Amino acid sequence: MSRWLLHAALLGLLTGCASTPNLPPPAVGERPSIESDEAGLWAQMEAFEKRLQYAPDRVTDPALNAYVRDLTCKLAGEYCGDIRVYILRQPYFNAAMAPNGMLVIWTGLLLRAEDEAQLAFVLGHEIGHYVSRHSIERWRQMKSTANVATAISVLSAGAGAGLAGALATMGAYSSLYAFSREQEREADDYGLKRLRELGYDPRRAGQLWAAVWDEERQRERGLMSAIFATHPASEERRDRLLQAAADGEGQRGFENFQARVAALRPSWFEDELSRRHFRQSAVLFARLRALPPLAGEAAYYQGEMYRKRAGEGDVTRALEAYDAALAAGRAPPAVHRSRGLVLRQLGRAEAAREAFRRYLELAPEASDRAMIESYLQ
Amino acid sequence: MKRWTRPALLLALLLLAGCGSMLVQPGPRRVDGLQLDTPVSWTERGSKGHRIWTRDGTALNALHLYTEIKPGEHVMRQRYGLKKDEGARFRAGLSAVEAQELIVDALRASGATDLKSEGLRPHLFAGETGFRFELSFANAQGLRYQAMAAGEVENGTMSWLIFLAPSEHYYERDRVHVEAILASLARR
Repeated sequence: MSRWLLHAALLGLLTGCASTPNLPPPAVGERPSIESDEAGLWAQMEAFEKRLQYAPDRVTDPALNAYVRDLTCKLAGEYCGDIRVYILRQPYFNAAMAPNGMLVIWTGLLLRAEDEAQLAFVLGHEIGHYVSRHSIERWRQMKSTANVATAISVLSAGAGAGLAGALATMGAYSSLYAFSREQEREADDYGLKRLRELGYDPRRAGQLWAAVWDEERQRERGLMSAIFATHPASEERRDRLLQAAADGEGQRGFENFQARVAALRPSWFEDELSRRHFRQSAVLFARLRALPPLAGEAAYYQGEMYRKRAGEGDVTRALEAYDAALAAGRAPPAVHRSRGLVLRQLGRAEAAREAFRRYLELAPEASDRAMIESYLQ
Repeated sequence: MKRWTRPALLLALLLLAGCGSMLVQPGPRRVDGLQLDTPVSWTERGSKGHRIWTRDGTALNALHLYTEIKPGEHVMRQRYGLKKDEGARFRAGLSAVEAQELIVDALRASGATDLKSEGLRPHLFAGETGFRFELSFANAQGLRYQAMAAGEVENGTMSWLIFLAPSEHYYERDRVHVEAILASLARR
């Protein structure tokens, strides 16, 4: 789908290599001179941003957007007015900053962050890319390696594009991964600095990357990672972040963050399940289930993951997870439908019928009512 | 590179598919073990196990017929390098609720956005008790689509069809023809 290619191309331009000299931070409200090469990059990004405003996967929930925008503003300080936030419904861990101040956050990141400190670190990291003008360095590097034309072709492909051009650009894109790590470290340092300045616990940054690394290690070669490759998850990065903040302390903002994302979180769980990359989801759901306020909800989706995976012993695991979700009192009515399905597989027909009946009691308008009623006959 | 091409390939199969085509005339026809009757003509692409019929091009109307998907196979017969226990794979004993989930997940993986499915209900598919439901979603450019899916799990395999078309004009125009095909389905 061109959406993927578009994101890939965008991200390829949004982070950079370290082979050009460090540039001074941008002035507040600064736009590049029309004669500069940077103006061309801005023009591309602004065209992309126009399309992004109407992207079908853009999350438009006003409360969530206001929350993330306000937090970004706090972190951006004097650059607040230069940065615009877009949340995209994508089940992967990613955020990206364009040179024109377009900041893109994917919902897979919001599902994986546990508290405001972790989200603030990621946002601060992206603002670090902006302040350090990494993308213009990347742009110049791409020009020097003659990759820019293909990258632009993929950006244009966002409006419905050519697979062949995208394939070529992905080669260029991949070749630039290796250059991004030094800049990632620089952006990490900026993110940690802003966490400390705003009173957040800087240790949460390393703990987020430790969790992300645990997921990444489960990935099978050839599968799309839950963690986007421009933000390499590695032991080195985890250890560096943990070490840098070992003596830090501060607020987590756990309750506030969880309250802000609670309404949309079920849809992000559903998206994660839809990936059917069960090894990574298993690690994620187990982590979230260990957080008391999320335990019931995460247990339900962990049960869904086991039921969908349907490996040896998974039916029993699913039932245990559903029962835990019910005990925690935070499961949706569909937990009873799912219990009914696994109880049927376990040969417990009467218990399955009881679960289906309970589902229909709690969700009388369920759109699959006719099918569930057929199971009761 | 493969990971980037996968969604594009899936979508291509759904909306842009095609290499070599033949005309399907109105009337009765046999398709991979199924007997059906179409009231209108179509262009057919694909091969045994996955036929794609369209009237105006697959971005405007596409009827996909998948037959006898075996346990472990991708529900849309994709053959890219997913591991055996991952991806939208059919397994024997799948319930209708789970078949719907499988199809929805496969569509999402293909790039469908803002996807909603509803109305899952029993449906007589080729003479066997199966399932049917409706869907709506947007493609990457935001164009809204509607779809209907129906199928059955029988003898350890799954056969199903899905009709997709833009909500504006095309879905309603062709829905009645697909309903007629669905009603005519029988095992050969």
